[in-house]
Amino acid sequence: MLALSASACAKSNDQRAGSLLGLNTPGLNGGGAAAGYVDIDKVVAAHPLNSRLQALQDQITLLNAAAVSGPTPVTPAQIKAQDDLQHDLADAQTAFTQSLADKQNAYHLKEEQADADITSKALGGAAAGPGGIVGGLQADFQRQMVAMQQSARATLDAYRSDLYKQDSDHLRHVQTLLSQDVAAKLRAKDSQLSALETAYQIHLAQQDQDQRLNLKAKLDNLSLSPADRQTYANQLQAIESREASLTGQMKAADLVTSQAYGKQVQADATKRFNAERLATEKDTNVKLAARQTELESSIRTQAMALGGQFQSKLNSANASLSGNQKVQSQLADVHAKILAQYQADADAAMASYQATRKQLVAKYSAVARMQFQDNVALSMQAEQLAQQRKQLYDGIVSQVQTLVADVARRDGVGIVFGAIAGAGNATDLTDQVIKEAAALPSPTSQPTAPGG
Amino acid sequence: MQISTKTTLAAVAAASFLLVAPQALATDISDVGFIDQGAVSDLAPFQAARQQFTAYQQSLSPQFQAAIKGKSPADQQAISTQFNQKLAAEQQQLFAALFARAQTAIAAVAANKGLNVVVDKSIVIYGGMDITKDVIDVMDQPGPVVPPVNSPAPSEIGYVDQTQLDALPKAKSAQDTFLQFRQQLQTQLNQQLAGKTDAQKPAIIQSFNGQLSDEQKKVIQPLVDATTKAIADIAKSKGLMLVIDQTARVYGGTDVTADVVKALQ
Repeated sequence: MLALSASACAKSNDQRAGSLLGLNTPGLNGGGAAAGYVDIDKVVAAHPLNSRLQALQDQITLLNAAAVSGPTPVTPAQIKAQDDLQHDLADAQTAFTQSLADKQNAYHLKEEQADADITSKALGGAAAGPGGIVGGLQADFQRQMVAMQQSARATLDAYRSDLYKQDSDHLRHVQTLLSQDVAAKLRAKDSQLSALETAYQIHLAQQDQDQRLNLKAKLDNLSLSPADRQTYANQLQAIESREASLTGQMKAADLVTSQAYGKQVQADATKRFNAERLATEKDTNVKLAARQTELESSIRTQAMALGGQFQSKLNSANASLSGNQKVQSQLADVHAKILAQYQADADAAMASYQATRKQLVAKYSAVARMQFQDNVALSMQAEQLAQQRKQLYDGIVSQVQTLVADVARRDGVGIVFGAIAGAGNATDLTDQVIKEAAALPSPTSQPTAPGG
Repeated sequence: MQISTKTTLAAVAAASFLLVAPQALATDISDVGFIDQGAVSDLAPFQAARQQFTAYQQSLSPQFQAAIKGKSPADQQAISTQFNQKLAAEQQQLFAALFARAQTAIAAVAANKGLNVVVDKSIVIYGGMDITKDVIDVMDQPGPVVPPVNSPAPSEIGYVDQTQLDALPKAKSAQDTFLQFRQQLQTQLNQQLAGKTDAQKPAIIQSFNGQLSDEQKKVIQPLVDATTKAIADIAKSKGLMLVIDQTARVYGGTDVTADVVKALQ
């Protein structure tokens, strides 16, 4: 603290001492090491323009008070007249706001077109379309981009159709092969079963052969009694029936086996077909995605090239235009001219709108036999005055800041605060600045009366 | 470096003088910087957060209107509190990290430049070190901002939380009295102006301003004076250059709020 204090004191005695002792921090704007403060409100109050500031504030207070102390309608006719007035005023405001927006838009388009004509002419082009030369370049760029995208899309669509057709043909072929395979397997199974049945029949016949031959030999005996003949014939018939029954049972079992096998073979074929279909689809999707990526990459590359060309053309056009003093001057003229036209038009619209409001207030005041008050108009006036007051106040403060800087430099004060809660060891520069402010030339003109 | 005998002697003499001089001369501003907080809050991340917050507010508005429809004033108040809490939570979520980053950036720049206190630009009329650009540069850098190793050293700039002073019973009572008077006077003014001509009105306004000013001098000014004196006494006793309002302090500084509150009680 002692070192810092030494610096400060040395500063006040000799402006160079502090820095020579190496105690000051470089980079500070101030001309000294002391701190000061100024009561801005007091300085503004002493400023020659403060009376004008106060007058504006009084007018604002008056308008605000007038807005809340207006006459109140009493009779039903007066109340109705006031409602009608508010309704018509609201309509007028809507119409005015819309009209102003339309004007803004129209003048904006007008300026854009005028700028486009100037820049297009300067770049040796034909009459510019909407958006001017940049718009033209942009439109070209867009057109080329769209064409490129459409071409890529068509290529991808064709590739997709081709792949789908290939897939379709392949799957149809697979289906045929599988059908043939199923049929072959079924045939083979039927043959196998049929062979087994035949073998079984032969086996049964051989098994019963001795008994059958014995019975047949007995039946060949002509001296056989009818009863015996009948017995032997029945036994032979029983052998035939048993063999037929056993063969029938086997065939029935084989039919069930054949049907189950058929189902299983068909299911296997369906499974294989579905697996093949999925694999084919997957393969196709991979191919499509790869192609899409390839096309997108190609589009990106082409778009970058196109964008580069567009940017290059744009840069070239901008460079050409920004370096062209004549064009810049023409553009500035156009802007100023159109802005002035818009301002005049907007002022006229505002005057007309205000006149309409006045007329409406007068009309309904006559109807109601009482003087209505247009609070919106009062509020607009108060707002205009508040803006004037703010401009004046900012101007005064700016002037005061210059005075403060002068005083600070003169007194070797390095930093000056404009708003403090309390002073310690800092220097109060308020009186000095007040003296400087009071010595400023007095104003000659008076503030404008509200609405005037 | 060449140091002239005259200058060195002057400095030595000055330093020696200090040993017996009152502390009122102990002022130095080499550690004070200022920042334009408005410029920082105009940075893209803050703007984006503000847009998000506005969108959130707008999305809540219809829900709020629907929620309070047909409800009693007490219920409306409760619903309003509930929605305000939602808004505050959203605000916290959107801005907390940004404010923390800004605060760290300010601390980092201040430490780098040897500043022990940083205040808002609006209260500095002349001099001081503007660190706005440095802070913006740090904030614009990718990745986290590295905080300084050391906290700021005690500064000769003090600060006080005015809201705590305003909340003291004496101050609150005076403010209420003045506001009540002002409302009554405004009502009287409106009545007096009704039916008066434009020529008569300025005198009424002048009278209104005069009465308001008189009441302010009578009710508010003694408290303001007492507060200013208390702050000044504490500032001097602590060897501070001056004391600013806490709202204008951005970084560092010496908090004297407790001392001032104690002195005023």
